[in-house]
Amino acid sequence: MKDSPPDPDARWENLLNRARGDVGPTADLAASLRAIREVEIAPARTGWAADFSLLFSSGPVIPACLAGAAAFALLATWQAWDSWQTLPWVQLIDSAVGGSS
Amino acid sequence: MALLVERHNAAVSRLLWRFVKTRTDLEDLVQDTFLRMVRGLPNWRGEQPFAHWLLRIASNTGRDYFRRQVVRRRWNVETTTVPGDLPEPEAIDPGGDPASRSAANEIKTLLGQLPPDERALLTLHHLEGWSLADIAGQYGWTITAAKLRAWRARRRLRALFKTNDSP
Repeated sequence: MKDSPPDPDARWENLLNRARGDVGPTADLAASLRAIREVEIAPARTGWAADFSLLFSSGPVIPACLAGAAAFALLATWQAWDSWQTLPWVQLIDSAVGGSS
Repeated sequence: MALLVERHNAAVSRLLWRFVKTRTDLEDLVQDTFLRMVRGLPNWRGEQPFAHWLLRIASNTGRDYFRRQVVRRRWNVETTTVPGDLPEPEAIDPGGDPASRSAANEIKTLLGQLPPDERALLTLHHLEGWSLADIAGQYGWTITAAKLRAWRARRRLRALFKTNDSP
């Protein structure tokens, strides 16, 4: 007669109970110390590329760019409209088509 | 800095041992954790104990390791065309208590078939005894999401047990 396989949950619990007793090795302390010492003595990044990336890494840069672009578009539209009104050929066309001016 | 490493080396090793099978991988992860510690130290606000903060870094390092393994495995599958070209199995570090080590390795192998987040969740919850709320906070999930992941992971594990049982 063939035994039925044990319940997966029971097997899992059994494995867990045994595995919890597993004590692993401790990492090599000297190697860890060497690794952090290399980071500590590594020079901080310098140069225009670092400055450039630092400039654009802060949060408000993108909203500020968007606001600047919107302000520029507004100013340009206003200037274009102003010029459009004062151009003489616009008045000529306007009178030719029976405008009010 | 050296003092911090000396003081916490054993605790970090103990936690990260749950994530790896070999001593080489353990060394890599422990060093990676301490490097992250050095880089993140200016941001440590002291709202939580230092050891707690460091173990959180270690658990993130462990999860990243699981993610890298998935990518590496996928890459190996894609680049391996000849069956004989499969990578050599990792050498398993023999432990002090062979029964415990064997069970731990069996669990790591089983969990290795789960997605990285679920694998990290079950590792921390079942082997390290972290609460689901702690894990959720650690990985930026809601508690409900953590519970759902745990439930899914357990369901996958049951399926794996059944697959292993079937001839």
